[in-house]
Amino acid sequence: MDVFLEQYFDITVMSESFDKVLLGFWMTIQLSLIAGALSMVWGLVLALCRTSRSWMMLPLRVAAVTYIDVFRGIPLLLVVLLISGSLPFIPGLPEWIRAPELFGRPDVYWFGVAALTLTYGAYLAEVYRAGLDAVPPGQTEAARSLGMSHRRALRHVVLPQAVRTVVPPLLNDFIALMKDTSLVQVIGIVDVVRAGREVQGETFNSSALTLGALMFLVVTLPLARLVDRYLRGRQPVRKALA
Amino acid sequence: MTGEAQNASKLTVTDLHKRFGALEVLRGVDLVVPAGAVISIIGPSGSGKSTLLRCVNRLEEADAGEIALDGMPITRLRGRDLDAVRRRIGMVFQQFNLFPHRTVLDNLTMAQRVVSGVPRRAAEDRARSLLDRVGLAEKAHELPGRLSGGQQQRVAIARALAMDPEVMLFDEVTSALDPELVTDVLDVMRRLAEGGMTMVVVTHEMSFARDVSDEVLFMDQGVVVERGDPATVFTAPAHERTRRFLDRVLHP
Repeated sequence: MDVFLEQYFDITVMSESFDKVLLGFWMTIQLSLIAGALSMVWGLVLALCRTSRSWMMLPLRVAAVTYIDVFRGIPLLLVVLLISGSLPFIPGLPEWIRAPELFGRPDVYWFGVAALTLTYGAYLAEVYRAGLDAVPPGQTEAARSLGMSHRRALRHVVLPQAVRTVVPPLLNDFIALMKDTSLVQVIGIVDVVRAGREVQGETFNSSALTLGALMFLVVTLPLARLVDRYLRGRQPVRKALA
Repeated sequence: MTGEAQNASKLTVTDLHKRFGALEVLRGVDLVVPAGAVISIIGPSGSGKSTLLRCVNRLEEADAGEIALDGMPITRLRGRDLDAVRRRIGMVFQQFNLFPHRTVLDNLTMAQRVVSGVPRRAAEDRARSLLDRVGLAEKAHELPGRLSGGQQQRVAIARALAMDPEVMLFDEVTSALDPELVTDVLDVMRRLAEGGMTMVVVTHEMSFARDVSDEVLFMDQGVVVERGDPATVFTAPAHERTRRFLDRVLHP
């Protein structure tokens, strides 16, 4: 039992590696927030293309469906590798795509953000679509009968209701995205997992990784509770929506 | 209603056809609604009366026929022109279709502000006076989900009136309500009719059709079987189908 405790919960290793692991976790948080925000926007764009009804939007609709199918069907790790291992070597691409070093961050940072956004955009598009489909057609009809254009009905009547319905699944996917940021360490980003692994390699002790896990829980557990509370609190309104 | 108002046709529907797949829902319907008149459309479910109403403000596209507002054809309008025409035609739905995420007041001000660009204060003043008219001034800041069905429907009428429409369409507006809530809604409609609003009312409320309308249309299987002043249609219907329908609904 002592051996077990020492392997995973060595206080000395934890305190000595605390700053390093925390720095890695800060990287995890940054990637999560940036990729999370971007994929929420990207997912909404995809969902709106996919749910469009007019024939003029048909090419966009087909493109969106194909995109979502592809990126939901391949592993995130593969996307990470495909981007970071190829973009820098494609001549003709603009510099800011081949070697993005925006805001003083290295290119791998942005390759990681791009991979997460591309993949999670596809997931979130499906979440939004469910929300859009859940808004009764009568809502659009009422808005149109008051003289609102399709766009205005969408913006003021349909979207606000759709987004409210999907807040819990969006938060769930954000938790998943946060955990999946650990995959980008393979291209050299020192996130919380990479930081823990480096300590593990030096000390043959896993306590730094345990520390990383604890840091994850500090953020993900309250988020999960938030989802629960949101679901409970929304019951009456969801009934009114029905 | 003055004789002058009678002469001007506010809304004219000519030979309207509509099919859903193999089902022919409207088979050549004509309708003339003089300005200020109240027309009630009665008939069994599936007779096409709701579809007719939905075609009038183009929520459904008719397959053939013509719809004109103030003599101007609106059947083939698109985009902004269609939006502008819809603003002049108010519609109230069976299921109310209030915006559940916004307060009652917001339900009445949203389209005024977004579509007509009315400033917030002016839109709210108008909304409050309309809520007062339907007897719900004190509910301005409630969410629709907290109101009874009858109250929601009165808000929906006020919401349509907020756009200052020239014609109001009522699509079985009391059919989803508990019986004791129907009266308040019908009272609002009655007062609206007395105020000179041009109205087309699809309804199962025979007393309303008889007492308030200038003309009653009986529809069955996609055609207008019979039309005339309410007294004649209700007491001495000319057609066997009308007689059987009235018999069923008046003496169940």
